[in-house]
Amino acid sequence: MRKELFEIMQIDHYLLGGLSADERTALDARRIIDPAFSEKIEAQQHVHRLVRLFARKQNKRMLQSMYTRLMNESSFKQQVNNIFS
Amino acid sequence: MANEDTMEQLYRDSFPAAARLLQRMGATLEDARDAFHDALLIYLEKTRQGSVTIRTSPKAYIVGTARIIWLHTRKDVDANQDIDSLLPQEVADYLADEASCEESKEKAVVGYLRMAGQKCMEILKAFYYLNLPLSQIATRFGFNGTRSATVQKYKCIEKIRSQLKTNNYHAERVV
Repeated sequence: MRKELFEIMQIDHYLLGGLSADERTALDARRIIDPAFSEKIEAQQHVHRLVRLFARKQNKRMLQSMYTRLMNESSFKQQVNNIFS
Repeated sequence: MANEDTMEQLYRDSFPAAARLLQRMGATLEDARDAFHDALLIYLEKTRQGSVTIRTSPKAYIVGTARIIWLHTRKDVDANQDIDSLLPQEVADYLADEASCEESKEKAVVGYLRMAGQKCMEILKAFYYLNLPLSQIATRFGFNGTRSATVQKYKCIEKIRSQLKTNNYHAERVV
């Protein structure tokens, strides 16, 4: 694995809790003295968040389809409409 | 995501109870549906991670979470301003993600990334969101083995990080 990818792997372990205490301390220290490295960590956290948003967006579309399908069933629709009437 | 039939049954069983509760708290049908969908997603994420035990029934958890989300949503029109300090961690994390999504350009960026790297996003989703085993990811995406799948995961992160940097998006966010 090339150097850049190895560093991404290390950051991933750092963010997801896969490092030993010593390894973690070393990266904590590097984070303080190396702003570029610190920025990479923040960017990687950002990627993780984007992946969650991406997945949730897909899941919300699926739930919306489920809602539409259920509201096409007369008994379910009536049950729900009675609540809001 | 959990089996779709199981999901639909959970939806069928839980939504009327959540809607009834939220309606009494001033929610419209659309409000109730949105809070319920968020609650259902939090439930799915939590059970998938397997890191936290849900002590009640799935229905009770989802209805209770929908209530908390609705309280959070309407806090500007309600005296109950302390709700945010009482949020369970998984709900607070979820709402923080959603807020960043609304308050910044994240929505547009997610759309852009999907166009620019659909396969990468699907691979990263399989790793980080679905928490699928490496062997399953390798098979699903046609890699020769688990090592190739792992290397590709890091290449995808590198690619997206670089796209974010190109768009000066990260710098804009952290300022």
